[in-house]
Amino acid sequence: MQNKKDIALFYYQNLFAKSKLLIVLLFPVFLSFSLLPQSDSFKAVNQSSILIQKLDSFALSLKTIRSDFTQEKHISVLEEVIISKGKFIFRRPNTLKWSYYTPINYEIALIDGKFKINNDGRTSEFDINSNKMFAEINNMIVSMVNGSILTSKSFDVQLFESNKQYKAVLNPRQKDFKRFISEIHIFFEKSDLMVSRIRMLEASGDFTLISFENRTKNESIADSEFGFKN
Amino acid sequence: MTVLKKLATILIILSISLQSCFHYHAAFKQVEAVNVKPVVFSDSFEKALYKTNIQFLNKEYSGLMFFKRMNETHATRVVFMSEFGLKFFDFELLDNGEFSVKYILDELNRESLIGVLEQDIKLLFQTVQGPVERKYYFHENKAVYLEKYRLDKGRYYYFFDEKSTKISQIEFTGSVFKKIKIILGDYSNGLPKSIDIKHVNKALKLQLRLVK
Repeated sequence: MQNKKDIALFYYQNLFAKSKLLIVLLFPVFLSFSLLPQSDSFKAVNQSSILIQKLDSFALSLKTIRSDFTQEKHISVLEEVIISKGKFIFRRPNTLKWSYYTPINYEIALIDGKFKINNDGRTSEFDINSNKMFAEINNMIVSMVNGSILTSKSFDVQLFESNKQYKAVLNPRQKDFKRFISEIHIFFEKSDLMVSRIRMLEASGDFTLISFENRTKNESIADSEFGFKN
Repeated sequence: MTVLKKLATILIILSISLQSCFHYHAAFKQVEAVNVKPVVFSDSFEKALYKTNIQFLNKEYSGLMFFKRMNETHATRVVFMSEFGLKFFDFELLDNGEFSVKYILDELNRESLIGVLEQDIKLLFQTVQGPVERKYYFHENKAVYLEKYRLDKGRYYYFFDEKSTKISQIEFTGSVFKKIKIILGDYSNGLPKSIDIKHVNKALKLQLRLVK
């Protein structure tokens, strides 16, 4: 673990142990964390069917999305967070690409019914339907991004709101699916109705949080951008 | 003719089995005990993150492998997850050698695979246990030490770089058909930059690269 910055692991315990100065310096950061909407600051939405309609029709108006993302994998027992960063592009109805550039180089694109992978220069591709698990994950990701997940029959949906956000809590109906993801939280910004965060919880207590930053919508995205550079 | 055939067969079998026994001895000269430690991750090891590819039965699983030694119990946890964060498996290895599966994806939940991974993890994180016959060798041209352990269940070969005295290779030979070879790259702050694990007669290959 020679380069802590680059490896991008949070050492929570060490952080607190090291010095009070650090805590003082980081106080604004803690403050901003505490200002992040906590689950208890969300209250149930009264007429959720109207909101679902609103979010759904907005999602239909989304032709493209371009965004940076930060992915945090929280491993609860180990008290560790593994952080990955990258870029995300989406084009309606179901073409998308995740490009991770830290801590590792990895790209996964969904295009023409295929997963295409660029694993540090080694490329491979396979049909989405060749693997049941990947097909499920793909359906979920695409429907989360294009908004159709709220009307999906695979989930029970509950809606909550805070001052700035809507939160959709999705419970998978299929037992098979629940084994690896027990609950999904999707956060929409009230200001632009775009998805800003997705949290996927596992039965073990681990969760993955994906935050979308610098989001833009409906810019044209060329076919070539879904390909790989090398 | 048949006698010749039998003789030839015996010779072939002999040469195969002898090769695995004496393969290293030809170029190595036995020496007195040297100051080397047959463990890749030292006692002070805390955690490490590796970009990892696992090839198993013509399928490839890629992602991140995270090793952590727990403070209180000193247990080693091995978590392998996809780039998306989907967990493939989570293993625990206790100090006393007890190994447990905390989680494994259904698709990978095969006893044969888990058993092999257990052995690999033990080779990386534990020293050889039990009554052993231990010998040391030195290879002048390659400037490597070889430490050989002989147990009832097989032989362990540890190759050490002469200067750094770090392990560069581990081999375990259980029988002609059971062989594990682990090649370790240069070390950075006590962690091997790369770990390549091959299994003879098993459709399993692991490739780990220290994340920077």
